[in-house]
Amino acid sequence: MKITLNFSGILLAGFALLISASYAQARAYGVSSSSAGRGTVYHTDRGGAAYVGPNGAAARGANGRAGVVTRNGAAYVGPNGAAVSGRYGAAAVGVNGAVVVNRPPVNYIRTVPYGYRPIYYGGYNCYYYGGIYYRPVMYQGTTVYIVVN
Amino acid sequence: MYSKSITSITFSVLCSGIIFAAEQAPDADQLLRQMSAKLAAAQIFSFEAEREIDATLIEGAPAAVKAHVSAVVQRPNKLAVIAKSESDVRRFIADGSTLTLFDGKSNFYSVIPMQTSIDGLVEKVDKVYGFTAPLAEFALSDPYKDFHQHAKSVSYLGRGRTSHGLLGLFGIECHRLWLAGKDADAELWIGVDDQLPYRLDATFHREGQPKVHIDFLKWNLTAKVTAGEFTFTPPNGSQKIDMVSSEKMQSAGKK
Repeated sequence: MKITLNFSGILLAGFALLISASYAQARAYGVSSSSAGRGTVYHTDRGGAAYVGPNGAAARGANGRAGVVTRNGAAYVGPNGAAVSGRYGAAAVGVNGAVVVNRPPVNYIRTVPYGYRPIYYGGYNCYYYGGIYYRPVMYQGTTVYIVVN
Repeated sequence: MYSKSITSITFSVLCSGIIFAAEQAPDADQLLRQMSAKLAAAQIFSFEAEREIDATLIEGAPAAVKAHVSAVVQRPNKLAVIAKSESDVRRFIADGSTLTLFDGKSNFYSVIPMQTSIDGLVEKVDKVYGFTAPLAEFALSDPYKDFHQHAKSVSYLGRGRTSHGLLGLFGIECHRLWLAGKDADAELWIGVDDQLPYRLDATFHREGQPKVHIDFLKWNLTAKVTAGEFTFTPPNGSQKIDMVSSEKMQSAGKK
């Protein structure tokens, strides 16, 4: 159990590093310090998403599963493990054990899954699809949809 | 004897030519200062540009984004920018008290308080909200200082001619400067006659060497503007949404 919790922490920290590796960069030539070198997030009409950046890659499918790849290994941010994240949580497998975390690392998407319906929820105009509410907000100069629940 | 004299004369001519050329190379930093001073002195001005940014420099972009950017500036605190790309229209309007950002693709817009100068706006939007208004750096009160924050050294490359107009017939003669920086290197073209920027090619020191390319098409330093330029009227069917700071989004993701 102890090993499990350690891996959980490493997984989250690793993913945070992957996404935010260049926050310290300065704004230059019209490129924000937050986006310079951060990489690109790709989305599909079916609700899948993938991130490809200078320090690695991550993917999340329409079925809610996700994986992480870095220069040091496949499907995990660390050197010796693997991870997938699902709609109800994430799991990691390493050489010394396995872990489960209860929240996906990405909390917004850029495209609402096809087939959504507009709905008022939690005081906001949202979109509803597949049991999930998506709230539109402006983030980093563009529209994204926060996964409400 | 005769041959020696000829050699000596030729050598002297070559040396003096080299010295002459070295003396004639303009001071790159001085050119950058002149360009910046000219922009800073303009109180109300407008410009148009074509800008292309590689996908890896814009989160969420599946491919390089090419946009036509039109900007109107009224110092010290008004800025209106429209960026039109193949699939999207963005409007960015600062009227001295608020900042409005309109995303034409989704038909959403956000309004946040922004009682600050253009300099303050660029800094706050970058640090708090994680983006920059297109080409707003050329509207700063001291572009020279801003360029030197990116560039450790500035050197002179030579002259070049832009490809303005049909077949480049209206090309503009420019000085080409090299700005070497920690995060990116850039080549900046400054008009020989008017000291205005006409081209910027920046290459970032990142995997894949992503680039930003800007061609300035038109400058008007005596533009006439109306209050309407800095007023946003929401289009039919558009919806107002919140703007979320980078910190808030990151902390939400950690909960």
